[in-house]
Amino acid sequence: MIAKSETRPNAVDAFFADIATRGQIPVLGTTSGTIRFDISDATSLEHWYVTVRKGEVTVSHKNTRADAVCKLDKELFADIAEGRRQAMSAILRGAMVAQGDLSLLMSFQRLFPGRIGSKGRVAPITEVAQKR
Amino acid sequence: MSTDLVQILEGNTFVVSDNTGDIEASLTDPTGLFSFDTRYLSKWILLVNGSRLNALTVDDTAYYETRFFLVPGTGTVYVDSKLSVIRVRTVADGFYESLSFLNHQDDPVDLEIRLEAASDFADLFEVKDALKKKGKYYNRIEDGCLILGYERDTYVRETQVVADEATTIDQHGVEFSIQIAPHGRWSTELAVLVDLGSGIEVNHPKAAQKSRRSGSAKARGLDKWIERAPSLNCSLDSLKRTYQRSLVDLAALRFSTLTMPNHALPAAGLPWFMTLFGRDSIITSLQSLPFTPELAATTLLALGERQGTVIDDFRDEDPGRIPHEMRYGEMTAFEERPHSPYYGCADATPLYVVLLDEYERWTGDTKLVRSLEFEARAAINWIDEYADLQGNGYLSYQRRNEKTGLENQCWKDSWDSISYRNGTLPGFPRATCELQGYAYDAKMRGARLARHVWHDPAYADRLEHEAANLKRRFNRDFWVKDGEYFAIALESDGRQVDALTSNIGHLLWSGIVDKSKAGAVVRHLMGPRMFTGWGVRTMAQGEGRYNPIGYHVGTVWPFDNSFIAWGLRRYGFKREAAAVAAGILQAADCFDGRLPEAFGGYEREVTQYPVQYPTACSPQAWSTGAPLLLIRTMLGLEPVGDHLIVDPVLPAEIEHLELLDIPGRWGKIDAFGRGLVDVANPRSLKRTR
Repeated sequence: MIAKSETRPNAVDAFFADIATRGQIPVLGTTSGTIRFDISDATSLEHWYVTVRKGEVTVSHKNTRADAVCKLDKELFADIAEGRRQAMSAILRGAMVAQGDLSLLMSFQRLFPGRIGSKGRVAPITEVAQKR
Repeated sequence: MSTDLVQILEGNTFVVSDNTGDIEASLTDPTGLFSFDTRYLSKWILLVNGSRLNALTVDDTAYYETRFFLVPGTGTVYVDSKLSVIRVRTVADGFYESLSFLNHQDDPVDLEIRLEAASDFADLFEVKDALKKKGKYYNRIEDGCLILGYERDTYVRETQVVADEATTIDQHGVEFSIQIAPHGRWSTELAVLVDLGSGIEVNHPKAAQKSRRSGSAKARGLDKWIERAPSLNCSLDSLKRTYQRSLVDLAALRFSTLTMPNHALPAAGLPWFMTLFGRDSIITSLQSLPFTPELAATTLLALGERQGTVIDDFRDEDPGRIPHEMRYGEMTAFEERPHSPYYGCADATPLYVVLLDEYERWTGDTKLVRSLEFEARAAINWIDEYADLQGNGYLSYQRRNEKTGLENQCWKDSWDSISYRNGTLPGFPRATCELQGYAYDAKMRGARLARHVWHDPAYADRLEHEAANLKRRFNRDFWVKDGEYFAIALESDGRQVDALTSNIGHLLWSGIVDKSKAGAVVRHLMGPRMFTGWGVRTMAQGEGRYNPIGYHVGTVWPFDNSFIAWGLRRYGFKREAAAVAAGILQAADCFDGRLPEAFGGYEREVTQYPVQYPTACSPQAWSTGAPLLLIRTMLGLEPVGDHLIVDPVLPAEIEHLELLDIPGRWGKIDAFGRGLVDVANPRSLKRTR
């Protein structure tokens, strides 16, 4: 299970803590497999194992067999987890290395948020809509 | 550019060269070796004793292989015919080139042969917009190979030039110093391989193992592909040719995503649109369903995998939205373009559900339909939850990415395609009429799937109720009373954008048109303002912006016509459908069986020949699919339960047509038809029951 951070949780911890407590995640409803994230900074290397079983997500640091591996640095992960950067672009850029079952990674990356500051639909709800 | 040659692998690797096989690109000249939307070679020039060669003939033996027959000299072929050169290029992950030099003299000949190589690693977007590069170039020689490289931060792309017998390799090319005996021959092989960088681990078998790889494996693949499709026999040779051409072109347009490397879906067009497109891949899958249903399955899976889940204004993404376009180049990698993927497309999402249902009706593959239930429901939900931008219950579009997003998100995506009769352009958001038809059809078909596959009758009832409500309102709000047709769009304030366009034909296909209004719609489609003799114009003659060679304002689009014909059949206008099919298929014959994206909207009697609209891509996927859908339409093929109904209504010029081994949930079925309809007078309206 999630390792408790003594200090304020950083973006990496916060992201994994969030997905581990969401319960059944519908967009992963037909997805199964384990992804290992190798997240490094100047001084450390963390391994995070995310296992998806038809939408049920568990997160762990415990070593297990992974179907896909993602290697990236901590700052980039934080940027992706907070919508400042996008995962697919990071892979194309070589900033994040993806190995193994790319289909699994493609499904998983849908859990990352959209670009920060996005507001969604541009049109105002008119009176017509309220009358409908 | 007319002499440029294009070669392609099943995928997104392709070569554009001149007719000697040489590549000499500038930032704006689109020749080169391209892969994953990046140019990996911008210079590839064959020099013999310091001079370039001339082309005698070029033989496009297959879409992935070309033979160039070359001779030295600068004038006519008679200047120096003592030496000939055969250059055979096969496209794979990169390309392989075999060079043979034939000495026709009684004396030995000494030759200095050189291949000049360089790359600008331009992103396709940079080629299009002539933008400058931000990274650094490098060259190095490693293990006897020349490596051309480009680097920007973590982004690295490399081209590897492998030559077995080169006497010299330098930073700018490879050289061979050889002597050929009298009447002798000397041959060598080179390989040019592309590297996508470290982000994705794609297996690149070593050059040495692959450099001898011939086209034979691919040729076998192509033969099998054609063998698997139904076979067509016909009294009309031109239709047989067009059918064969369509199958081969569809094979060339196959594209595999990185996540599903062993499955193919139709890309949008060769060469510049060899990627996953929501709209084009779905439309082409619909057209080819009776012939190659596996394309539809891959399209549904690949698009479902990339369906939007979050709100992202840069990518115009919403939850449930089906992507518009995926790109892999540098500008996408650095998020200078939103194509990873980009979602700005208003029709792909409802059409996704339409394709899912049509696929199940043909194949009976309920397993796939069950596995995509979440995606289908999310797509239907998007229509009302995220796409009702006018707030009036109609599907409309307006981009949120004002800088690099698409302004027009329907298939007529040019700036002036949506207009009033007097030519005025409407504001945004725009609710174009065909989008309402697609939304209606998506709900009706979603309801059928909910009832029969997902076993959720309450959801089915709800969708049918919503669809009926939409149809009722649509027939009231979009109907232009004084003209008796449907407006092309509604403005936010409810005003009808009232130009008469081919979009009304798509409405018939979707089934949103009240039966009482169908006759009037068909009279317009087959009348002199819209029907040219070849097909239905995108915009009616006499409208403010009408122009017979305007991209979406007067030209005839074969794909558009194939859906119009399908729509005519749906409402019982079988003879009119046959007339449209006859016109488009006759046009296809004028283009040797390969329909262009669009051709001029001139009267057939005036030009006698369809005037091709200049476009960058050929073949275009949905033009390739058009003859397939027209064949389906003429034969009246319609899956009903576990049976395939055949109800042929053919133009008289096709005396006899048979389509054998049509695959589907029934196993394989043959369809036969005899031509009876006199299409010379398509305007005589009689409803055939």
